[in-house]
Amino acid sequence: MTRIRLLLLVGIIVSLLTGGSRLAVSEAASLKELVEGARKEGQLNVTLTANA
Amino acid sequence: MSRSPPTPELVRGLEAAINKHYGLNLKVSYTAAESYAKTFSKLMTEHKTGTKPTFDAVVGQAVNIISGMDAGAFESIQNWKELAPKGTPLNDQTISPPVLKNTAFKVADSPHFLVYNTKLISKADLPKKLADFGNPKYKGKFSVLSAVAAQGLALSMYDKEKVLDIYRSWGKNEPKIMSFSQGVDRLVLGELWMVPFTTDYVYYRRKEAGDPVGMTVIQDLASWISIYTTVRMNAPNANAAKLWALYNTGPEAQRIWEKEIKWMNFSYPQQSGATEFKKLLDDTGAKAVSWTDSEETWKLMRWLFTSEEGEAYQKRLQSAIQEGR
Repeated sequence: MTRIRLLLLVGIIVSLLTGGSRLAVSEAASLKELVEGARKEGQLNVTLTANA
Repeated sequence: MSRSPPTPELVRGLEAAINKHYGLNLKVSYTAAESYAKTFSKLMTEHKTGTKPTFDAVVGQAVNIISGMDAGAFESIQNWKELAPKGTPLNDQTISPPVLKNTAFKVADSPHFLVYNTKLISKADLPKKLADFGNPKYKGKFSVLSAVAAQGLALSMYDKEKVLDIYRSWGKNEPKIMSFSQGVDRLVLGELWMVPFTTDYVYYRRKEAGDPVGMTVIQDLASWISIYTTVRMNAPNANAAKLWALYNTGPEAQRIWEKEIKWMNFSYPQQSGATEFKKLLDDTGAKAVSWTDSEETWKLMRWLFTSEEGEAYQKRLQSAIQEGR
């Protein structure tokens, strides 16, 4: 019983850790990802205002 | 060359530089908007109604950005320091002040200092502090803005009632109510002695034209406004927009902004106005004050520009400055 609880706890910790790292990766795009994404987009629309 | 609005040459220059830097072939199109207020109003309407953003990135001041930030209308770049071009002064907190939570990145600075007619008044006779503008000898000799973004920064120096008292003394001196650009026109014609909270570009335009203008600092309120790029949430070209924001923090982009339209980012000491403005501050012992300086100034700005109480206070502020009441 104790062994099952221990395995369950380890499973939860591993799940939390890998989930957390996936989140970090998705939030922080690498330069390579941005460049590849921009290449597919091919364009950009910006709004600039006349006076600073 | 005087500072000017964004031009096609600026955008083409940045487009070519970005494409070269990242090995891309992006087509950058731009809209030259009339005012920050209208642009951000459109942005907020699109965001609130869930309309697909009609533009990917935008430039604005802190007072424009705060509502969008609070509403989640901008996408952050949490790891921007890892991605910014080489040579970006990463330790300079003004590039993306902590209060902006990695959602806005500086492209230019715009100091709002005191411009005066050097033939009509000597530097020694100018007001040194905010309260000095209430001296009767300055009656009818200066203009003020109807908007309060720069004047309102006095709240970071004094409490709310003291600020109203100071500006009431201004109002009793019957200042002309007009834009700082119109004020400097009148100043050059000899009708006014000075125009507080004038931007650097108006000063440079006149100085380069040979007009008798000088610039100095109000010691207790050296208003400093910066212009930032933000990337819109759900932007159709989000990756390109992030590269645009990142690249514009870097040294090559700054060189292009200054070369093409004289917008300067004083985080780069090599920019032509940086030394002059630093000297102005050093000579007077003044400290530049910005809404993005700290959590306290940010909170004050949020109160002043986004709360009902703040809006009511703005009206009192305008009444004080314009009518002395």
